[in-house]
Amino acid sequence: MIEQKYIRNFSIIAHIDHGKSTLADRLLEATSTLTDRQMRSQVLDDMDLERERGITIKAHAIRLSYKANDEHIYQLNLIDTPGHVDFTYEVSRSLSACEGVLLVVDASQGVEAQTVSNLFLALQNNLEIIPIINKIDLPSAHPDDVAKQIIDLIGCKKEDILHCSAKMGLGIDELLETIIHKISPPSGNLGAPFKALVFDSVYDSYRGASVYIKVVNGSVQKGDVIKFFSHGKQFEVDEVGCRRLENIPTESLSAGEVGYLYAGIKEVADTRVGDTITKVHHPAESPLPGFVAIKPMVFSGLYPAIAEDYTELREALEKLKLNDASLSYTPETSSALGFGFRCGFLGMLHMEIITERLAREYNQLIINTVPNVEYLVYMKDTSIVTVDSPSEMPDAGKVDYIEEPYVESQIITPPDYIGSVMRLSTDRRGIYKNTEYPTPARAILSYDFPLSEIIFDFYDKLKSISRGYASLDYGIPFYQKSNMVKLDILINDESVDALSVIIHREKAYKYGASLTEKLRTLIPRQMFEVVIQGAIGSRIMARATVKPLRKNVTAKCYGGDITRKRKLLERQKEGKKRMKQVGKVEIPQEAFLAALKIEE
Amino acid sequence: MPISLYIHYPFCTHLCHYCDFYKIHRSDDVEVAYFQTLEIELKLAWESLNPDQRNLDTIYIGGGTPSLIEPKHLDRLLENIRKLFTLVDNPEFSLEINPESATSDKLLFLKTLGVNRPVFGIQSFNHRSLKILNRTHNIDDSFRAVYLARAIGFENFGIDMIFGLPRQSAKTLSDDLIQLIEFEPPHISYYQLTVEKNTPLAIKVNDGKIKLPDPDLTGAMYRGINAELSRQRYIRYEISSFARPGFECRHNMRYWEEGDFLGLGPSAHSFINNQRFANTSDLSAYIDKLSHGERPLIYDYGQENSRIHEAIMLGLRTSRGIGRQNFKDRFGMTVEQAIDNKTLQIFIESGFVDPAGDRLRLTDSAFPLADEIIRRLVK
Repeated sequence: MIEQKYIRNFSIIAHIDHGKSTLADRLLEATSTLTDRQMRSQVLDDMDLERERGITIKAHAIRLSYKANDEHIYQLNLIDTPGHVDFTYEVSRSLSACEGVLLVVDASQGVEAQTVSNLFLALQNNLEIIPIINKIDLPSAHPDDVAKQIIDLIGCKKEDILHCSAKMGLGIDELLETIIHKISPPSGNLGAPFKALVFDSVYDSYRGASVYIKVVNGSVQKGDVIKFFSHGKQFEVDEVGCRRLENIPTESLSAGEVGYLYAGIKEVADTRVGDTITKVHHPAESPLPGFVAIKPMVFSGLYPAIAEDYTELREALEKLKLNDASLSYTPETSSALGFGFRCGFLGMLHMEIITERLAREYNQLIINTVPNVEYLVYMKDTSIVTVDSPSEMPDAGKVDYIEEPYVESQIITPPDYIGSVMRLSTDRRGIYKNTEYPTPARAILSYDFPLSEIIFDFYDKLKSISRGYASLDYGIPFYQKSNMVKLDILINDESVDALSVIIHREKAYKYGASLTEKLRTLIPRQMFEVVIQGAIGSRIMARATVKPLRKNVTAKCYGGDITRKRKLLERQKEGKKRMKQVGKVEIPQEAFLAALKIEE
Repeated sequence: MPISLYIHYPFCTHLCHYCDFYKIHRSDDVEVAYFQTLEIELKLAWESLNPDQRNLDTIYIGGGTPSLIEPKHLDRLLENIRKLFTLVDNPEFSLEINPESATSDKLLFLKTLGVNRPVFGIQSFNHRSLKILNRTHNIDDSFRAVYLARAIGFENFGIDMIFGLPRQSAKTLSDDLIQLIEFEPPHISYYQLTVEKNTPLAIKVNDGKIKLPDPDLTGAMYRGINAELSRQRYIRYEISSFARPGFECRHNMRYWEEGDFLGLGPSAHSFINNQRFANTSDLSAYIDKLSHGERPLIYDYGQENSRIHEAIMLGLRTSRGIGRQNFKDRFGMTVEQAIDNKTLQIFIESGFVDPAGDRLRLTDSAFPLADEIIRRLVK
């Protein structure tokens, strides 16, 4: 059993692309944690999708053994954190398993909003911060300016900041020594009842959930019966260990150590991030602070493109849910799209990832309905209804008022783009709070935004108006009264539920007009006139018509070549399966997808 | 049961911009090689048939430009066909003719050979339209061709026309129709110009150099053609085929009613014993394979319900529609069981489909929408 004074638990805070994964790779190399064969670039990101997007979605922890200049062998636990605004809570839990963090800033990009927000989380957890300027080899590097930003941010001294190039392997040895000297060892009580923090879990189809823990007090080993504080379920531990690239079983995990355990847990939903584990015999009295059951913020209907795939879609979601506790879904039916599921996501990225995983790993093509946030509808009879789908919106006559979720947010931008950022923010119904100028090169704009206005494409827009320089971060939602309405789309007088949206009244007219117009171009001419209307209640706001088809016959069919024409027909027949029927009107899938891409 | 024989003659002296049938520039040597190979193919194909399929009741020589065939080759080909096959009484023997090559000698020769249904590719009487299509004949050629056909005594002949031409208006279409009707051909095929991929026409259309009339106008044109030809006592017996009673093209009906037909020559299609297959669309590969005694066939196995799809698609193209009994005999189910019934009900209510009697057929108002209706009915 290793003494706690030889343990260092730390994490890396960095903005996407600032070099976190490469730095992690260098640390693994320098400590010979992995053989060359195991060494892939960015080993910590082990899902294909993560590697492609360059984002670490699921956190992991890797144990390094480092022989320091003082000749002692240290156990370094590198706890990786997700790097996207959708996953703030997971980051905070991973950080609470650490005693220190490496704050990595790109020498040419400087500090970004995401970095700042994660840094605040680290400071809240009283972690030691080791500031690092990375990518100093780049010609565009301006380390002095970046150093100034960092000093402004954390109040360190200039000489405390390490300079390195993870790509070139510069500054790595110095970094390892700094970790040993500056980050405190964990200070758990080995004699106290076992208590450990769950900071991640991954599903393994053979062994059940692999739970990542930081042992705070006591120790755990095979055969111990453990229980989770949040739901009280009990499990018998069948393996504990640490991770290098693969799991390495160990005798036990004791106070201060980070590692994994298996206990035949069938669903990751039972292993909530932030939960506390203790033993059934001699349990700890209280859980660790900070556990919150995370809630989905974005809801969307997921429907199979081809109705017959419903069962397969359900099975795919079941499997995804096994290793993604933050995904929620319930069956839902739509008159236009048939059988599907109402799914809750942490944010848009999460939704995109799920959609893409369904396509890649389960071969499921799906139609998403317009994502919604969760509204609180105050009824005249004083009851309150939670609504996350337009179809659940009660009759306007019975509604007293509606509250929508807002978030406090910070946008960090170079001053050149303040004007554009403010225009965009006003357009998104942002409520301006103030502007701070921590450095001449960066302004921090604070706004309260309706969540629905920023989850969609706000981030992309922000990036494009600021040439990629501005960044966004936001907090946990709070509710505020808002003038929301339900906008319905009618096709030949039938309401198409899958195209309805909940929208702010001021935006409804423009949205309705552009969606009906877009639909007009996407719905092919049918054998009768198709009237597309946008309506709020019984009031028609927008109207477009698709003229009836007058002729569709390719007259030529001779020379005995029946094959070609039949193959065309059979291709069209396959296409027809992807058409959705509303009354007599055939609506192609693209029409539903178009609703997701309407420019307001 | 007698079968039909199609022969694809793949040569032209001049290539029309809209055509995507398989063809190459004609030369004497290659023509000789082609006919030698065709002789081998004819023999091999004949061997593969059942004895009762060795009777022909229609022959159709298409192309390409079959009116370019050297008479001696055609003579010999016919001799070979007659040697192997029995021709039924009163067979239908069609051959496609470009108006510019319709000389009296040529037509007389064809008549003595047994051709009894020349088909003239007139396409339009509008000079500008012919130019856009890159046709070489002029209006005078067309007049001469039809005059000679009558003078030589062809009781039956056909004229192929095209509508929906670039820059065609209701006025120029009606000029074409007036002229066509004056000729009183026993048979008219009136096709809509189809822009086929990779043709010079398609390139020009894609580049925006040529603009085709919009679908609403071509729809009106199609209805106008139907109305006018019906006034002139023509029967529309298939989407684009019109005939005076008794002059329906038996050869084409065989395609649509799915009788057996044998296609020879590169790219020619066949349907024999419920199996579709085609020759390679490449003359050198065609010659090469057959010179080694092997037929250059590509089989079309289709998917599970392909034969049913074809029966619906082809049957509904004809005015007679799909014969219920025949359908049931072939597939062991009723037509209604083979199509999307909910859609069928909508179409019956809207007056597009007439289900009454022993045949399921499209109504007159449905013909301009036939492709759309068929697409929606197929399951």
